[in-house]
Order: sequence, then C-alpha cells, then structure tokens
Amino acid sequence: MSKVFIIVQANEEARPIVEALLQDNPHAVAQESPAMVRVEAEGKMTLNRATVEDLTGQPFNIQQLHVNLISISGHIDEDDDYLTVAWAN
Amino acid sequence: MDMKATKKKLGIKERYAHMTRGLGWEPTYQSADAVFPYDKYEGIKIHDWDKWVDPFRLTMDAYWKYQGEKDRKLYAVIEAFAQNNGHLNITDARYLSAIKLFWQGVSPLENYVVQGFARAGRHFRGEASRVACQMQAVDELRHYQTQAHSISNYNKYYNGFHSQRHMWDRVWYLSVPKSFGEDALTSGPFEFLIAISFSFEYVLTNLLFVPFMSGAAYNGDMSTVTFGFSAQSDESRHMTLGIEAIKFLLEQDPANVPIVQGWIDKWFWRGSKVLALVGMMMDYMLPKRVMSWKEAWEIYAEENGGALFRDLARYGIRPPKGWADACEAKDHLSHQVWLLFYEYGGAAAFHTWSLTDEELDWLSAKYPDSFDKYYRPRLEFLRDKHARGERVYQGTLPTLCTTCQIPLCFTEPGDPTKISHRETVHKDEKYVFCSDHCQEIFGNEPEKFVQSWLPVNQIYQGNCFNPDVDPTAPDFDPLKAVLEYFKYNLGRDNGDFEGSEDQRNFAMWRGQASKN
Amino acid sequence: MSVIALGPYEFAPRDQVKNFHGNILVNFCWDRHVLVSAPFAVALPPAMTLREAIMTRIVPSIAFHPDAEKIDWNTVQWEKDHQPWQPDLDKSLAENKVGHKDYLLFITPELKGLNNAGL
Repeated sequence: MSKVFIIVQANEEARPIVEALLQDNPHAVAQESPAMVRVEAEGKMTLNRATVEDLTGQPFNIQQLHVNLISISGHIDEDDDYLTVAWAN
Repeated sequence: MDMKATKKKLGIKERYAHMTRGLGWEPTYQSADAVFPYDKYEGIKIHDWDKWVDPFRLTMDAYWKYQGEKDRKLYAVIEAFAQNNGHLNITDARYLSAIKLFWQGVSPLENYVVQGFARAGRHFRGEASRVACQMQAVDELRHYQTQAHSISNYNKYYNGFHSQRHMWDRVWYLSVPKSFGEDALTSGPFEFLIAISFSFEYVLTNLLFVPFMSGAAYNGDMSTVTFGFSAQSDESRHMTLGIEAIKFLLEQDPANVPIVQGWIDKWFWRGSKVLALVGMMMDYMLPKRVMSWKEAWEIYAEENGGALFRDLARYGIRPPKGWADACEAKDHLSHQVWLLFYEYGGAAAFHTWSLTDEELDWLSAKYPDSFDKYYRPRLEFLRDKHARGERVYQGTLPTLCTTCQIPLCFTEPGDPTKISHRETVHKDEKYVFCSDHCQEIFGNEPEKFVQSWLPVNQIYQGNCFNPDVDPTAPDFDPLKAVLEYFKYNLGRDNGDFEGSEDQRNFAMWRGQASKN
Repeated sequence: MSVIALGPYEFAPRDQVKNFHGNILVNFCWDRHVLVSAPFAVALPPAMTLREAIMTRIVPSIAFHPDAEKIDWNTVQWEKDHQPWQPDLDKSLAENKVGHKDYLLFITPELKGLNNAGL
C-alpha cells in the first residue's frame, strides 16, 4: 500500500482542514514542520466539506483548499462535497 | 418575456463541463492539421480529447478568484517584510547564498515554463487541455513576478542579486538550468508536457518547494517562504495535471506507451541533475536545517515517486532508467556539488564558506554512510587551509558534461572516489558526459546536443569577453575578463563569505536593529 | 535514433576544433584524488609538449592537494580515453596522438589521497 498526503500551510485558514482530515480519516497522521503541516495516510484520504463547515461554522468551498495547499499526492477525485486522494495500488 | 432564472447553482462537475467542453469548432477555411501543426509529429495518438479531465475541475472564474486571493495574501507579507526590515530577521547572511542561487538559476526557469505552456495551450487540439495549459502559463508568470517582487527587497541591500537576465545567458553554472529549460522548450508539445508537468513537477518539484521553503521559514525568511508556498499551491495543481496528462496519453493508444517511457527516462534524469543545486542549498546553505537532502529525496522521490510508478505499472510504465543511480547518489550529490562550488568559489556570484564543527557534525549524523569517509576530511582540510590564509580558489576551468552541462564532479555509482566520465564519437566529433544516462540522452538525439553551448568551451573559443577586451594585451587576465563579461562585481559578488561585504553589512545593520 | 522533427534537423557541432584558434581542448583527471573536485579542460597548442602542458597548466591547478608535490611525473601511469597509454612527455601533444576533447587520466598508485582514502 502506498501513502497519500496533503500538505497545507500552518495557518488559521488551513487548521480546520487539517482537523477535518484527522477527524474523518482515523488512519491519517499529521506531521508539523516549520510553516507547514503534512497529513499522510495509507492508501486513501478524504476531505469532507461538511466536516470543515461543522468545525468553523462557516460555509466552505472545497476549492478554497487551493489557497493554502502546498502539495498533494495521489489520484484526485473532487466534487462539491469532498476531495479524495488515493493510490490504486 | 422574462427569462426564468435557474434556481440551482451548478455543481463543480457541471461547471467544469460547461467551461471546458464544446468551446472549439471544426475549422473550415483551413484543415485542422494546418491549424494545429504540432500535435501529431511526435507520434502521440489522441483519439478523444474530451477524455482529458482536470481532477480539480478548476474553471477560469474560480481560477482568477483563488489566484487573486493568493496574491493578496502574498503581497501583504512582502510589504510587511519590506517595511519592517525583514531581511535582518534571517538567521545569518550566509543564508542569502541560497536565495541568490534560487533567483539566478530557478526563477528564470519559471519564465521558460511560461513560454512552453503558452505554446502548448495554443497547439493542443482539445479545449480542456488548452485551458489547463493556459492557466499553468499564467501561474508560472505569477511565480516569476512574485519572486522578482519578493527578492527585489534583498537586492536593495545585498550583492549578487543584480543582472539576473544578463547572467542567465552567460554564467557557467546557470547554463545547467538554462539548457534544461531550452531542451524542454524546443521539444514537441507532448514531450514538453511530460518533461515539465510530469517528470519535473510531479516527481521532483516537491523537493524544491516543500523542504527548502520550510527551511526558509526555519531561517526566518518570511518573504521567501510565502512566495514559495504560494507558488507551490499552484504546483500541486500542476502535479495533478501531470499525472492526469500521463494517464490520458497512456490510455489513448498503446503506441503512446514506449514514447512516453522514453521521455520519462530522459526527463527524470535531467531533472535530478538540475536539482543537485537544490541539494547543496539544503545541506550547506541553510544555517538552520530542517531535513537533509537525503531525507527529502527518500520522502519525496523514493516514497512518493515509488507509489506513483507502482501505480503506472498497469499501463506498462516502469520507473525511469536512471532511478537506481539517482537514488544511490543521494548520499553524495549535495557534497560533491558544494565542494565543486567551494573550489570554484571565485567564479560564482554567491558566497561559499567553511562549515563549523556543529554543521559538520549535523552532516555526519545525516549521512552516516558517506560523510565522514569521503566528505568531512575534504571540508576540514580546506577549512584548515583557509584558516592559514590559503583559501583554495581554482582558476583552471573544469570539464563539462555535454548533456547536463555540470562539471564532471560526480563519481561512479558505488565508487565515490572515481570520477565518472563517458564519451561518444558522433560523426567524427567527440562528446564528453558525466554518466551513462547523460550519454544515452545524447545518443537518442545527437543533432540536438551537438549544439550545446558549453560555457567552458565557449570561453576557450573566445566568445565570453566584453567587446573592448584585448586578449593579446600583456596583462590580459582571462578569468577576470570572463567574470567581467558575466557582469560580476568582483570582490563583492564572489569569493568566500568570510570577509565579504554581505557579512559586514548584515552584522552592522543587525547590530543597529538591536541597539541605538 | 535521432531528433523527431517536422523538417530537416542538422546543425554543425559547436565545439569543432576549428573554433579553438589553433588549440585543442584536452581533459586531465587525477585518478582517485577527488579533493580536486572535477577534471580540467584546457586549451593547448598541439605542438606543445605534454610535459609543458602538465607543468604550466596542471601542476599549478592541483598544487593545493598535499599529494601534488610528491608526484614523480616520469613514473605516472596514464590512460587515454580509458585505454592504457604510454606517452612520451617530451614529445608534443600531436606526436603523442592527443586529440581534441580526449580524456587523459593520470594515475599515481603510490599516492593514496587525503586520509589514504582516495580523496
């Protein structure tokens, strides 16, 4: 199984994204480095719009991820309510 | 009659379909092949361009919105950095050498990629692919501009940041990224896509922008980390496009597989050589280090690239030919390149220096299999010489590889004291290479690489002096004449950090910042 | 293989010997002494003796290496383009059949480099 990851900037806009990833993907792990947070998981990981909105109490557009995204690895499946990264192997 | 407004907003999949499909038309005044003359000759067969999908489904309206937001954030930081003398918050002025090298050697490459994607965006037949290429062209232009704006603040205070455009076309070590970019730009549009989007962006740019920019943050450079991560947020979109592009090509026709494999072999190797400069920046130029080049290679090339190639195996794609050799080099690459630049430190427009014991210890711990045996003794010997007032500056020019244009400082895989050299005779002319893979790249396209503008060879041909110089004059100093042709401010841009103007000014200004 | 192109694709090699004003470009590498970080490329007149090329161009360039002063050039072993080679140092480069862009490796087996480690 290969690892997927999403790396975001260590800032307030990205914090709920990290929290939502950890909440919805129990196998995901966050690693902090200067100015960035890397969330990685075996195989597959999903970011859900509803989870981010629950955490912040604000509307969230999945594409807002782009503003604070640093890097991402895996095949991407994105729709209005979620973004999934996964390897097929 | 009133139009009835649609109540429901379009979802991103519908919006993407509307904004990327059905935008083109069948030309009638000219044949489609005359309008798109470049998307068939490379041998790539495309049967259905509509199979091209951007998984982020970014449309132009959303693109401008989010890019605008990124820029607003970035420029607020740049302004705060300038107003608050942010340059005095960096760990040490030695750090600036990394930013000089970035500005001299990486930023101009962004401009080349603008040109390449603008061209691909014109020449692909499918509308969705053209939209994606146009966005990427604009992205890369934004990267160059934000780098110029961020780094211009350093140019106000420190040496080596001036004359970037002039140096790019002339300076010996800058021919490495320049020739890489020109090789990609002069390829067909599909090869360009595999070269940049896939081999460089997907497999390798994480190494440049993720650990190095985190290192910039660690060293207090708020300005660089912000442009770096702002650029990298675009890169993650490019990487996604790179992997989609390759899947698209491989799924369109089985005949595309061997062509794409050849490009992956070539461009992975070329990219790994260009990144040797980044390895040196991470291991040697950051006064505070986040992770070693070797660790970054393991995470972002071996682990992530490994996952990618396991995934592509179902299409019949294997890891690039140079994979094993590039992985073996992770123990040596950064040290060999730093030692090269140290020895030729009189001819580089950034500073090099002797490492402290603490820094040597860090490298010993990070490179247990190579550093103490092969590199620490060299660094300590050179440091001792420097301490005795005998700083080594090499004045005799090095042999360059015809393909990657890096001096032959790399050793044979598995034999770290044996310089690696290869040669090929093509049509009665001899060509020199640093490795099997650079030799093979030449062998596949000799007509391209016989044109290599190798700086050392050009200097000997007399093409690198200012027009008013008289090489027959009795006091003619060829090395000095070449550095003047590069527009170096001699004694300020080059040489050891110890005793440099940058070192003095930084210490003085920082002193003024902390007391009256 | 060759370049895939839409039209004819032929260019003159940029580093032909005729562009070097009567000189040839010769590459010198000191085997197993990587403190000298890369081989040298020097432009030399073919009529120059190999000894003069060594003394004027190579000896000063490697002088910072502690083994350099111990080299006995009369007993140095050579390879030219990876083949064993026995030049006559007092004959010209041309007489020694040194050609444009040749790779001359000089081997000093008794000198082991820094720390006796080939550095």
